[in-house]
Formats: sequence, C-alpha cells, structure tokens
Amino acid sequence: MVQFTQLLMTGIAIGTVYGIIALGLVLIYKSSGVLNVAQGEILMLGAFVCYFFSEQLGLPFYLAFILTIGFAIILGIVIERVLLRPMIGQPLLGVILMTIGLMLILKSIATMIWGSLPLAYPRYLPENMIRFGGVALAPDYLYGTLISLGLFVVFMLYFRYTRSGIAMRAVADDQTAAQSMGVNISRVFSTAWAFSCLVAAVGGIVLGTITSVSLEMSTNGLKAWPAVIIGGMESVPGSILGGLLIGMLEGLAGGYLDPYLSGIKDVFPFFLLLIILFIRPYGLFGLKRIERI
Amino acid sequence: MRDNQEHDIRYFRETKKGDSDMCKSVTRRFLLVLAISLMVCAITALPACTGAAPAPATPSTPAAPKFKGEITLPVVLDMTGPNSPNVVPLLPSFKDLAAYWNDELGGIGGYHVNVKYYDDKYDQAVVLSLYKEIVAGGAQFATFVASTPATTLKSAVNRDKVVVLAWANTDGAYLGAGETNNYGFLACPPYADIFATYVDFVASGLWPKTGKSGKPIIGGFNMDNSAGRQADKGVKLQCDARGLTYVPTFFKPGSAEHTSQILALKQAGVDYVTGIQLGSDTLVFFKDCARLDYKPVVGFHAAHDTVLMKAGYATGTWNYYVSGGADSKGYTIMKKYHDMHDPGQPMSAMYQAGFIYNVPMHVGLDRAIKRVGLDKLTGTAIKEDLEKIRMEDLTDGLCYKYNYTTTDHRSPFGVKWAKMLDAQGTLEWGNWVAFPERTGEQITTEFWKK
Amino acid sequence: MRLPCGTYNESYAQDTAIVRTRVQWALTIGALLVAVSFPLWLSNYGMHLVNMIAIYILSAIGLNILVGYAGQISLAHAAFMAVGAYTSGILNAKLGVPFIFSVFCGGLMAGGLGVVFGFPALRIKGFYLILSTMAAHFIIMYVIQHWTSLTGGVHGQSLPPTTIGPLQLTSEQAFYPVLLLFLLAGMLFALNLTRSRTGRALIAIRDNDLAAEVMGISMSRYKLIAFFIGCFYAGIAGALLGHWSGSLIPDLFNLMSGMWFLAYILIGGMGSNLGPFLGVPLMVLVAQWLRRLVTDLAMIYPALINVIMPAHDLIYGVLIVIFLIWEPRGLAHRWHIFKVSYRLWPFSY
Repeated sequence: MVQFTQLLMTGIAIGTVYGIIALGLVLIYKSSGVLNVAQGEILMLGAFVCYFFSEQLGLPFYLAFILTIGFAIILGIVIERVLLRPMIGQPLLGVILMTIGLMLILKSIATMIWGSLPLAYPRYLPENMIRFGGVALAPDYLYGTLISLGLFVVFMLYFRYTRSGIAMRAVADDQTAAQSMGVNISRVFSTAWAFSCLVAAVGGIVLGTITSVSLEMSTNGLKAWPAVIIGGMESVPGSILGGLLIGMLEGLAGGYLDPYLSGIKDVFPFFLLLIILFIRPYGLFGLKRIERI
Repeated sequence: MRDNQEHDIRYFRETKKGDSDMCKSVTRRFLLVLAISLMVCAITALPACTGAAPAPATPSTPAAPKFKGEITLPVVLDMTGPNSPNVVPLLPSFKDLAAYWNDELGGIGGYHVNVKYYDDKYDQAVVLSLYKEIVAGGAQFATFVASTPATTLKSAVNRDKVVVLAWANTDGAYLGAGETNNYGFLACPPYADIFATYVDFVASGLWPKTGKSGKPIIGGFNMDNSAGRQADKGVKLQCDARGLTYVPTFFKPGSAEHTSQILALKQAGVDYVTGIQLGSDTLVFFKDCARLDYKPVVGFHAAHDTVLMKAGYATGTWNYYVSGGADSKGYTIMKKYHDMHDPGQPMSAMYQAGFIYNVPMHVGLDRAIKRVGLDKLTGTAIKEDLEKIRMEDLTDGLCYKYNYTTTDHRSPFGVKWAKMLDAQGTLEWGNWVAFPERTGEQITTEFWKK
Repeated sequence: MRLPCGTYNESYAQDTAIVRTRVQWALTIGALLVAVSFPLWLSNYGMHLVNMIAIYILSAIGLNILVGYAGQISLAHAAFMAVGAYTSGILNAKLGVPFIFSVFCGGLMAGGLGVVFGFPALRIKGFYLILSTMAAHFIIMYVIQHWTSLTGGVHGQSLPPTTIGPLQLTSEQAFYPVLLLFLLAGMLFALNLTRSRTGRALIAIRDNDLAAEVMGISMSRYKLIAFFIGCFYAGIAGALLGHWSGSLIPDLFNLMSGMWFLAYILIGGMGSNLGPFLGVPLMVLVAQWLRRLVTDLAMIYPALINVIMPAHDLIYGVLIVIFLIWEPRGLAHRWHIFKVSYRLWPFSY
C-alpha cells in the first residue's frame, strides 16, 4: 500500500509537469493549428536560462524565475514572428519540419552556451520531507505540483473570462469567422506562442528543480504527446488530466509491470495511446469533429 | 485536407503572374541561388585557406627538427547528443596524451602526433560515414569513444583491415566462438568485468567490515542500453557464482524520476547498488533516494561528476577507476599535463580514463611504425604488434596491466574502486582488482543464455 | 500535363509513355550513364555516400507514396526500416535464406506490420495519426530492443558478409549495382503506381477523403494499401541498409531518423516522384559538408571545440528554416516552376 501511494504521489508530481508541457502544445495547437515538436527544447532552454540568472548571475531565485518568464515570452514572440508567420497556409508537414529546425537550433545554442554537463540549481526549497502517514512527499514535488496547478487555473480562467482568451478560442474554432468578427489573428498567434513558451519555461524550472538542468530534459517533451492525445488536442483541462494520468500510469507500470517486462515504463504511455485511439479516436476529452465536404 | 487545397491555390497564384514576369523573377531567383552558392563556396574555402596558415606553424615548434613528419590520430566521439556529458570532459586528455608523447617520447615512431576530433552525434549512420571518411583519408587506425560503433563497424573493420580502438561495452565487440580475426580492440574493460569485481569487492571487502550477519543483497540500477545491460550481466554472473541475491532494475536515460526502481531496490532490502548511469541520471537517483529515505552503498560509474560533488551527493559513493596508481610515475605525468590547462582543479574520472584509454593506440602504432616504417604501415601490422602485448605495464603504473591476445581484446585487465570522502574529491582507494579469467566469448549474451 | 511546343500525342502508347520528349530522353540517358559510371570515377568514400543516398532515396520514395500521395503522415518510418533490416538480417544470417529473397521477406514483413499499425488511420487523421505512428515507432523499437534472443537486443549484432550466389558483396563498389537495381525498380514502380487507378485514388484521399469516399473509392482499402506500399519500401530499404552496413543496431533506427525522412521528402517536394531524388542528396551532402567544415574548424581552433562542434546542428537548423521560408513546397516545386517558365524560352510571350 505504501508503495502504491508513493508511486501515485510521484506520478502526480511528474504528471503535472507532463501536463504543463501538454498545455503548451495545446495552447499553440488550439489557436494556430501548429504541431510544435520543439516544446521539450523550449522547456530545456527555460531551465537553462533560469540557471543562468540564478547561479551564474547570482540573482535571488524569485527574481531569476520572473526574468526567465520574461525571456520565455520574448522567445515565443520571436519564434512566432520569424519562423511560423511565413508558414501560415503551408502544408502541415512543412510547419512540423520548421519546428524540427527550431529544435536543432535551440538545442545547439544551449550546448554552445552551457556545455553538455548536467547542472543543478542552488537549493532554494526547504529540504525536510513532508510526511503523511507512511508516505514521504518531497517539498520540491509539492511546490512543483502547486505551481503547475496554479498555472492551469490561471489559464482556465483566462480562456473563460478575458477578452483575448475568448478571441483565442474563437480563432481556434474558426479562423475565417473570427477574422471577420475583427479578431487580430496574428496577434492571437503571437500571444499563443508567448504563453506556450512561458508555460514551457515554468515546466522547465519545476523539472529542473526536481531533477537536474541538462540537455536530456528535452526528452520529456515526448512524454507530453500521449498526455495531449488522452486529454484531447483541443482541451485545456484535458491536457492536465492527460498529464496526470500519464504520470501516474507510468509510475504504476514502473512499479508493477517492470519486474515482468523490463523497460515497459517508458513505452507504456504509448501502448495506452494506441488503445485509446482505437476506442475513442478523438481522445477522452477532445471534440469529435463533424466533417463536411 | 485543408493544406492540400491550399496547394492548388498557391500553385495558381504563382503561375498566374504571367510568363514574362515569371521569367524575370526566375532569373532573379537564379542569380540569387548563384550568389548563395558562391558564398557557400567561399565559406568552404575558408577553412582550407586558414587551415594552410597554422600548418607551417606546427613544425616551427622547438621540438620540430627531431620529428620525421606528422601523423594524425582520428578520434571519433559524441561531442553532441545524449552521451556528450560523458565524453566532453575527456576532450583535453587525448591532446595531453599526444603532447606527452611528442614532448617526452619523441612522438609515435618518430612522428609528431596530432589528434583530430570527429563528432558522431550519437548516430550510427554518422559513425559509418565518419569511418569511411577516415579510411578514405588513408588512416589505418581510429579511436571510437562509444560502445555501439564496435558492433556497427565490426564487419567493416575486419574487411578493410583497419584497427579500431573502441570504448566498447557491447556484445558485438567481443569475439564469438571460433572467431580469431578481429581488428577491433577494446580500450576500456567491459562493464561486465568491472562490476563483477565490485561484487567480489563487496563480498570479500566491504561486507565483512560492516559486521552484519548473512549475505549482502546486491541491486542493479542500470541504463536500458548496451552499456547498462553489460554491467547487469557481469553483476548477475558474479552473484550467481557467489550465491548472492541480485535485484536488477533498469531505466531510460533522461527520465524525470526513478521512484519505481528505487522502491523496488528498497523493498528488496538491497545493501549495495551497482550500476552505470551517465549524465544527469545519477543526480536524479540520489535525489530520489533522499526523497524515499533510502541510503544504500553505491558502486557507480562516473558518479563523481563535478555537479554531484558540488551538490554534495557524491560523498560515500564508490566509483571505479582504471587509473589508480596515485603514487606512480604515470600519475605524475598525467597530473603535470592536466595542470597545464586546469591547475588546481580535480581530475575527473573521465579525464583520467581518456588519458589511459588511448595509450594502446599510441603504443601499437609506435611499435608498428618502428618495425615496418610509416610507408608500409598497415592495419595488420598494428594488430600484430598489439596482440603481442602480454600483461605489460604501458602506463608507468598509472593503470593495471594490458593483455591483448588473438582471441581476447579486453584490457586493461584490472580496476581500482575508490570511495569519495568529501565534496573536494578526496578518495579512499581500494587495491587493484584483476578481472576474473574469462574468454571474450564468455561475456556475450548468447554464451550467457546457456 | 501541358506538353512542350511541337509535341503531340498521336497514339495511346505515346500518351502513356513516361519519357516523352527528346530532352527527357537525353536527361534520362544522361542520368543513367552518370549513375552507372559512379564506381569508375568516385572514391571509396564517394561510393559510400552514393550507396547511402541510394538506400535513403528508396526509403524516401516509400514515405513519399504514404505521405506525399496518400496524405498519411507517419513518424514510424525508421521503425519499419528496422523491421525490414532485422527480418532480412536474421533470415539471412541464422536461417541461411539467400540475400535477395530475405530482402523481399523483410519488405513483406514491414509492409504487413505497416498494415497492422495503419489500422488506426481508418478512423483518425492529422495529429492523431501522427501520434499513433509515433506510438507505433516506440512499440516496435521496444520489441526489437527487448526480444534479445532473436534480435540481439540493445547490443545489436553483426551480420556475415552479403553474398549473391558465388559473388561476395564486400566492397562499396560491389554493393552499388544491387542498390541501383533496387532503386530503379522502386522508382519505376512508384512512377507507374502514381499514374494508375491506385495512385489517383490515393491522391483523391489525400485531397479530401470524404469526397473520395463519396465518389466510390474505398477509403479503408486504399489507406491500408498506402501503408503497405510505404512500409514495404521502408522494409526493403532497411534490409539493404542492414546488409550494406553489416550490422543490426537498434540505434540506427531512432525516432529522429524517421523524422529526417519526412524532412527529405518535404525538402525534395512532397507528392512528386522527383522529390526524394532531390531532397535526399541535398540534405545528406549538406550535413556531410557541414560535418567536415566543423571538424576542420575544430582542428584549427582547438580551444573553441566545445562551441564549434554543436554549431553543426545550429547551421543545419538555420539552413532548414531558411529553405522552408524560401520554398515551403520543396525543390520539385521549384523545378516545376522553372520548367513552366522556360517552356517557351527564349521566345517569351
């Protein structure tokens, strides 16, 4: 039982990080219909930039956090303006390849600046464990989960109540109709990219605190894909639920299936993904699109 | 699909412009392409031009007259990619070793040595291309700092008769039954051998000292790739031989958490965790161990990363060293060359390994050139000279003895285990542990299955 | 297809011929001559590149049929190549099946698995399909890496030298004719397929699958056919890659290499049979050239090696981005525009 709870807790903590990456993907997809392969690399870059501000410049951690968020917003706007704007109306695959190019660029820039050795943040969180009965919960897990959940709530409210959030939803629903209602589409696109990069950078800092700051962080970007699919490509609450589900199932598969099928832990989400796609082709929370000729 | 309809629209837009207009724009584009290709040519020519400048500068070094010429050692490593954290720290070591040969041993067979690095990006297709490129450049020898190339290139090197010194930890590198003709040499001992010695070291050295009764339980925390599987195999083999319980776990490099693996180890009551983790995973392992209140004694590889040391996680961990002769002449030499560029810094385990692992290439080349001359140098000559090395100390006591035979290309033949005492890198050294007697074939998966 | 001035179709045979005009004949014969003469004047290393490009083109042709013609984006192409490589390699090495036959078995195996993993495509498309193929990639590679008794697991295995009857294909020069024959056969098949009923059905599905179905094209059948053909090509190419490199290594077939195949056909021009022949050589040679540049620069400035080596990816990424902004539809589209604009050259309207 202790093992089960422990695995579940870790799964939830890591799952929220997957959820955050998934949220970044959904934000971009919802508004501009772009599949961003480089989300994991943006996450990694966010973590490295925060390391730069906090460790190399020696700023206090909260300041480094805020500066990183500022950097991420600018990065998002620049990426959208320089790389994605010229690709509007181009085939899907071209846009994917564009983000592959972005992936190469971001990763090599990080390698050139910070080298390939893993780095660690200064310890800015309390060290002692928080205990519930027999289960110990690390503070970095707890704070990471809280930050991620806070971010989700903010974005849910944003899409529901603010003017630009509603505009973004309108663009996601029907670009032409939104445009004819006076929505500035290019601004919506840049906002979406800025938010997506912001979310990725926060995810990077949380993940960097839990693990270490390294180039390998970007591989976690791949884990977000099943989360997105399970949640449904269009749904913000779906992405957090998908992330949590993937995190927990991954942990449980590692705990209970791994002794029989070694290495199943990392492939399990993809098995799940295929099964879900067979049963519900548009994800658990996605919209079933009715197509007309 | 929407994008394909767009395809047609755009096509019409482009052709509607009118043909004369089109012609003009195409001519302009053509000129643009021409300009770009000229620029590209210029950039290509740049390294050739600048390359010409320093070339005469090298012979003008003070030691120049005593060399008969130049010889280039190709070294292929993962400068970028997931294995790079492991490889980048040893970059200076190859140059330092070459500098030592140039300064004090008169170069390789009288020729001035240059090291040329190639980046294989952790991609086997690139490894193949680089190998072909190196062979096309006339070299009969190359060092590959990674495991998988040994398998990728095995058939090619044996066909081309090119000596490849690989840091190999994969079954493909060992000889199968009846195979005698192998141009691949191992620069580092297989993890199976190394971690088997750790089991011995634990069972006969560490465990009796704790005063506990019964037998120690050994755990494994390995990467799910060829290196990790290799280490796992050695530990399992040795635990079976000694009647110890072994609990293996595997992980994928770059994972965000290792909770399930650590819980499995903890619940089995594992006292000693062995394993090979490179990059960031050791740090995550220690963090997760702290989160789960689990403090095993670990015997790891590359556990003494500077990050780990700085974060205070590395203390109390055992780590193997191929270089262990801290009081030997070889160690003084290595320290001297290391301090030329990083004075006062601790020598990382990877740096030391790099300084040692390329030694057989230097020695083999040196002897072959002295025997047949550079003009007649072939891969076969180098292979013959390397295979004559019998329990020979090639590094002035810096590492254990080398032994290459026609059927076994594993070497050096022993390691030392050392415990990190504090964050500054002070070590408690164990003794030299020679490897269990085994043929190369006995480490392969097929043999082990039976 | 508009024909150049003074070229008319006078018979059905002329209408269906692949090579029509004198210029086309000249180009075809010229290209064939150049291709046949490669072993005569190229170095060993040059032949290595040519062989690698030939295998990649063969694989890219398959992906082009699947993605460019049928519109089913697949990230699992590398995994299907692995299936072909392992099937053929194991049949050849362990059971002694002759080389050519085992290569076809590899192709069939990959094609069959492609149909299995193509089943989700009957219900989903777009991103969901991309992700289901990504899942397919991970699942296939998981099985290959963990079925140790058969595949050699993560260690991989090396293969015995390839032989056709008494001939030993040990050198690059000896392997080249085999690859060339496979490539030509694959090219002819693709050219004819795309002009046939099947090819038109695939294009119709790509352009609008609902409309295609209303017109009486069985969507499920043709989607599965596309998956079979695309993965069959991947299997053949993978099998050749395995025999040519002499080893079966799981690392040779990672997700990124599957993505690179998408890049090849996109840069070359999707939905064009010319595409793979332009895209693969361009991207492979540019990467090769960049690698040499970076290696030489690192030799000259040894102190900056940690900055110079990663610059390879930076430059490559920037080149991809610039190319996509310049011509998002690939080189084949550029070539087409060139042909259209020079049809009446030098007499413009």
